[in-house]
Amino acid sequence: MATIQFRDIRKSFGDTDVLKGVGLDIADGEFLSLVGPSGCGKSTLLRILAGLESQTSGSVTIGGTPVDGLHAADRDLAMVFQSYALYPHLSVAENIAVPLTMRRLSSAQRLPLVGRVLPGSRTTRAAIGTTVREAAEMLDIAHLLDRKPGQLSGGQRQRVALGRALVRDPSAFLLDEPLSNLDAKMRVHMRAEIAQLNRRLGATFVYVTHDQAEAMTMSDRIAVMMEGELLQVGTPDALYDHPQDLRVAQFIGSPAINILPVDTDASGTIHLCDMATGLRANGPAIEHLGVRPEAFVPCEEGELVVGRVRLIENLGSDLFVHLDAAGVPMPVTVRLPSSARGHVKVRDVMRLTAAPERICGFDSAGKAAPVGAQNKVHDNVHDKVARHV
Amino acid sequence: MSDLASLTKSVPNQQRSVRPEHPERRQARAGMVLFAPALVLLILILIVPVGVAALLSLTDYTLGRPSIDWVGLRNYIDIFTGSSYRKMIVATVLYVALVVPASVFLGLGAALLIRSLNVGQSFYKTVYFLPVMASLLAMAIVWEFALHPTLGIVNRTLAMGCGTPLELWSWFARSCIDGFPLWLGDRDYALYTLAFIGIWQSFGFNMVLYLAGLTSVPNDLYGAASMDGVKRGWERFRLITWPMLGPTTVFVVTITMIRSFQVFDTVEALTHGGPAKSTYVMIYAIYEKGIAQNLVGLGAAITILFLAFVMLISVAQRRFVERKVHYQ
Repeated sequence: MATIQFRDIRKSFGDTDVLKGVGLDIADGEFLSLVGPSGCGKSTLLRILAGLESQTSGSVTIGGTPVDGLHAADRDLAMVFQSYALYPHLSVAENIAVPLTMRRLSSAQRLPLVGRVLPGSRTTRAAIGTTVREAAEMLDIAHLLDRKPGQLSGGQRQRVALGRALVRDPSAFLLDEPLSNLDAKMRVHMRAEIAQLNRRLGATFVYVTHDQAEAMTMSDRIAVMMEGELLQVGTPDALYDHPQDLRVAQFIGSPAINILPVDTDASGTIHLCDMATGLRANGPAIEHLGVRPEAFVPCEEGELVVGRVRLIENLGSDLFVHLDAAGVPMPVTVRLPSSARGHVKVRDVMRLTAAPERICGFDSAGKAAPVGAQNKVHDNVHDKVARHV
Repeated sequence: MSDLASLTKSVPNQQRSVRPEHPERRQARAGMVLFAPALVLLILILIVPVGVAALLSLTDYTLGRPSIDWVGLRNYIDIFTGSSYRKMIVATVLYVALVVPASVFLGLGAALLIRSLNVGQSFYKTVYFLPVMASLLAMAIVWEFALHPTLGIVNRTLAMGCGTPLELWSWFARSCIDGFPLWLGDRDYALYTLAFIGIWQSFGFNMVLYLAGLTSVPNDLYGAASMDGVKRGWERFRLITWPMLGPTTVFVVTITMIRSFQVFDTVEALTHGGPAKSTYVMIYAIYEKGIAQNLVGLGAAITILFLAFVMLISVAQRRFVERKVHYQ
């Protein structure tokens, strides 16, 4: 069990800066997801932590001890690879046993034939066999121990890779997009299992993924990375409700947040397409407003957005309505309860508003900036929200 | 009887048989037509010649003689009882036993070393591959000069070592007094010298095959091995590289074996099977008997024996090895 600290990690491949000074503290037993689009440097950061790659500058600490320059084998970490990286010529049992045989048996004891008759080898091998079986039973793959990886399905290989990682009881688990090669159903299933595993083992998990849904459902905290930088680190709730950066807002949540391009005049009033929105900037000038699809509420007047319905997606539990709105380049997505089924039709005109505290403002640099209601409109909007909810 | 069978058939089958022609049968016939040319060629240029050779090996046929006499297995009995034929088997097997392991492991070693380099990979690849690209006949002449007993660069270089601590090596000290070996002219050295040239010539090819095999080893496996506690290169080689190169090794060993069995050009250019038939390898024997001495029947018998050797290797490869080294 261990805490992990990254201090100003930089990594360059030639002229390309992959990591531009990443600092991050991970608590003991925490499930932390590194999430970001492909090429953002999240896997590189994980490989630096694992010791498979070395940073250009900065330091990594595991359990309070600096591990820079320490061989991957000596860091007491386990890793699950996207490709699973199982040894194809070894059986499942032998695959899971490798971390134990490499550590518990001397190199002489590992020799074929001769190694088996050396003193102590037999008892150690028996103990390893027991541990492997326990790990396999925990993951429900005990019946596969004699098979070769080539004979297993994707989900089963995934479990073997997990088994090989947890058999040694390492201080932290590193998982590099472990679910991306599975089909959708299996992915949802393994998502729950990995989260449970974290709780059962109590070990630190560092989980790399490009899928924000995986990060949201499994993590204690999420670190969003883009272009080699950490944009925001926080709980899934914090990231969803209070994104600190426009890119974080756009990355987290599905369907994506609605981004409305706006102008702020000298008095601080926010205009969308030259119409006053009833909102004001309580800090720097606002250039974009972010509104989650479920934060929108239909209204009769005093709307924030007006548009014509272009598409209705009925998911049964919810209704996603896409509008072409004036002054907004992308279609605006609204989530309505299933009770709205039949009341909305394509080509209808819809007026939408949202409670000011559920609207995120972003300044010209894309950083979060405070937004509030203009006093006289404030009550008005609240009335309407109350009426429609 | 056929009425009874048609009665028990299900209805859709009956309906289908009413149609003028079954589509599957039509497709099968088209397939036959399409693969017939390949089959004819295969029989004409591969199988018939082998059959003819097998038949000739049971006769005393020589080119230009009008009559052929059936001699049964006498040619084969000659091979297995005659002393020069026993020498042929010994020389061939010894040559293969020397060249195959040496050129396979040198090829693997060179490939691993080249892969570990950061700079100069293509330089070493080119250098090691040069003997493969060169005409072996031309190279054989160069070797002949180099190995000339008195004027050759090899013995003259060795002679420079006389009077130095190298003489502590008893073989070297004795050679300084009695003269260095005649190499290709000495029956104790000739086959080993040819084997050396064979290794020199073929390991570059094996190196290229191993380099290709190494690129197919997933990098993640090495990462996984590091995480699993593998620190030393030797352990990494044992856990990943060697098993993952299994299919390559089977291919390399088979191809090197067959090529070693086929050694001819160096023998023809340098030793003509001598001295004292110490380098009398199979293909050279086929050439000498069947072509040079026009004993076609005997040559055919050796050819069939040679074919049996090569077949044995291929079957062994398929049966025992290939099943164990492909992991899917």
